[in-house]
Amino acid sequence: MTRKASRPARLLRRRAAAVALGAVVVTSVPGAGATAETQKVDARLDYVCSFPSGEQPVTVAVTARLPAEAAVSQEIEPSDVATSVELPQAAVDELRSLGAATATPASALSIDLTQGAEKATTAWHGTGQPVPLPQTGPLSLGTSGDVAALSSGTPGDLALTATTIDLDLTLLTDQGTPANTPSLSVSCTPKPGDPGSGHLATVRVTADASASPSGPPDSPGATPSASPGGDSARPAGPEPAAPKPAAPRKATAPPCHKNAADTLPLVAYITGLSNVTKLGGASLIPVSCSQINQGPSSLKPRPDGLHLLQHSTGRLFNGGAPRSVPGTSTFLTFGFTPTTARMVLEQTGPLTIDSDLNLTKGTGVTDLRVPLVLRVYDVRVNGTPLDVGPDCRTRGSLYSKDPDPAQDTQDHLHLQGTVTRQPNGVYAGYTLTTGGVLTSTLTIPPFTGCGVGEDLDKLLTASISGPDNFTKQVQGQVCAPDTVPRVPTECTEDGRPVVVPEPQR
Amino acid sequence: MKSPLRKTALVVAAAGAALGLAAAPSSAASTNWAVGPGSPETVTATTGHASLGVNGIDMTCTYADAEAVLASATGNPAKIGTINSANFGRTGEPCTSILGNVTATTTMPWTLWAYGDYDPATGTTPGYIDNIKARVSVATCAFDVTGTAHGNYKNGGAGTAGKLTIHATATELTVANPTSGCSGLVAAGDHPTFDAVYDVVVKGTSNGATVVGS
Repeated sequence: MTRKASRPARLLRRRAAAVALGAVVVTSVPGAGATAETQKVDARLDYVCSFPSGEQPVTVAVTARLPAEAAVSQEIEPSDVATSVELPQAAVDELRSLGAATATPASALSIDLTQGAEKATTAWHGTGQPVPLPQTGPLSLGTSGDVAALSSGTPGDLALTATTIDLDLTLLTDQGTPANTPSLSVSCTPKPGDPGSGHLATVRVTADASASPSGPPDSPGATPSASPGGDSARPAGPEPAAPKPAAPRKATAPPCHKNAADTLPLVAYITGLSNVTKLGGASLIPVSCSQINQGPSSLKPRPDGLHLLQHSTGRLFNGGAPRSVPGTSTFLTFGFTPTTARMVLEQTGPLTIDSDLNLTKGTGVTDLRVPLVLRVYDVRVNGTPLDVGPDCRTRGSLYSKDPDPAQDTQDHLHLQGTVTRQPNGVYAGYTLTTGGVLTSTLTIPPFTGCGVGEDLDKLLTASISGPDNFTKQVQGQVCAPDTVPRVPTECTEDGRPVVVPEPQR
Repeated sequence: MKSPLRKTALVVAAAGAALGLAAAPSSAASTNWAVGPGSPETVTATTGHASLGVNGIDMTCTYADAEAVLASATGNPAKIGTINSANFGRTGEPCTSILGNVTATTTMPWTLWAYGDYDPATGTTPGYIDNIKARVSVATCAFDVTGTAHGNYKNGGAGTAGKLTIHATATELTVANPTSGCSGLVAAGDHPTFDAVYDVVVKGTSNGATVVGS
């Protein structure tokens, strides 16, 4: 699995929560052993919904579980999220007039996330079972579903407030065939009134003072590190410290500041999906921070044009260590047994980025090379923990074929991106600075160090290791934090990337 | 600045004093520049293609715009306009280069000058933009561009935009204050090229502004 670049997303996006790939469901869930106390959300909210016949009052009940407290950049995962929408008799009669005997609901509840002056939005989606319409009386439609994890880069109270809810109703006759009006989309807004209504929960986000900058990454087997190590690992001088919450990122991407040791610093977010061919599914690498030191450029005339060559170095940097953000993957092992595992990619050597851009022709190639070891922990088979121990990892780096025979040493990943000038003069494809998509096919080496008491190396190796694993990484537009004036589409006020990429199939 | 009425031979544009009226206006330096339809007139300019090039690295914008106030003037050259804003690229459509997206931050105002001979057959005025100041950046490489850019303006009319064609000459734009990220790419003293053709209309209309020299 590797990091790479992609066409930059220009809009801010939430971290992808649920990505379905065939038989695999990829989610982000907190690691086992999370001991934070939880709070129960139980809100009954009054809404006004726009039905074809006009506005109808509707009551919406929202229930969920959330941690009461979380550390900066720790994942906050709402669980057991359910909504129940109660339609009055007049609305039920209207559905019946459309030919319906049952209604199957799907809902999208918009949530405002507020922390101090900062605001972001997310949506809780749910689906439900078909419900027969009663002859008289109101109708209760329940939905539930997995929702995106949140996190915040700043300490403070993070408030969740429900705003609009959109309902999609699939209408069926009593024969189970589509009704005259087969589906109805209804938009609902909170009934004007008490401005405090809609409040669901407040999560206390605390700064983790115990972050150890050079400690081992995210001790496997325990709660994944919640330390904002990425920030506290920097020298005390150059960056403003946490106390002033200077323009925190939207509440769903990890912190990403420049490496103070870099001479020409760039930062960018990366994310992506990697197939695990043997398990017939894919693993999500959550949006992770990378720090790049842009290298020197040189112009070289060659027979086929004037070439611009650039050599840069960099590292992944998350939780105070050169690694990705840990992610959880779910697979159906043996075709039907749900197995979840917490995974993290650790960079074990230099990350190099070499660009060769032909200015005359308007084409360019960028080669990225990085050694990454895959570490696995918190494995659960059908909900039951399988103790792989704290040091279960691949014997060496994931690797792919390197096009340079002298560098084809099977000890690092190689990904390549290309850029081309379009007829209208616009450049399209991957560049180090715009980001873009990079793909590669990699081999997962055998596992070592797995199991406590019993040797699970063979089990993991048999289940996971092997060749032909296709990966597609997406890198967002870089921010060059030292460039003045600041480019607002690229850098936030405190020098973090604006663009948060989304993984692509 | 007009000389006494005396038919003279051809005069040379831009450099010197106006030498008076000629029998055929197209063969004498114009000294009266009349802006229309009114004066002063606020105009907006847009283009779907503007490009800056330096050392073989081209930066292309598929959108650029500007706003100026034109006013009749006399002289040769004569200042016929003040450009108050110039934007290169827009949200979702940045200028691009092989190195990445390019941002240009402009310091205004710039000035617009007419000079030389107005050509009544085509309604074209030679001109140049002066006081150009912009900071161009791609990731860690940022540099100032200052100077002038020559071109010409062809009149529009009712429902037809005027055309401002800019083609900077070899040395009239100059790079200064490059950051260390430009090392190996762009150096102080380099001379970028700049090319663009803008559609110019009276602000809020689709009618071209006119400049007529006489």
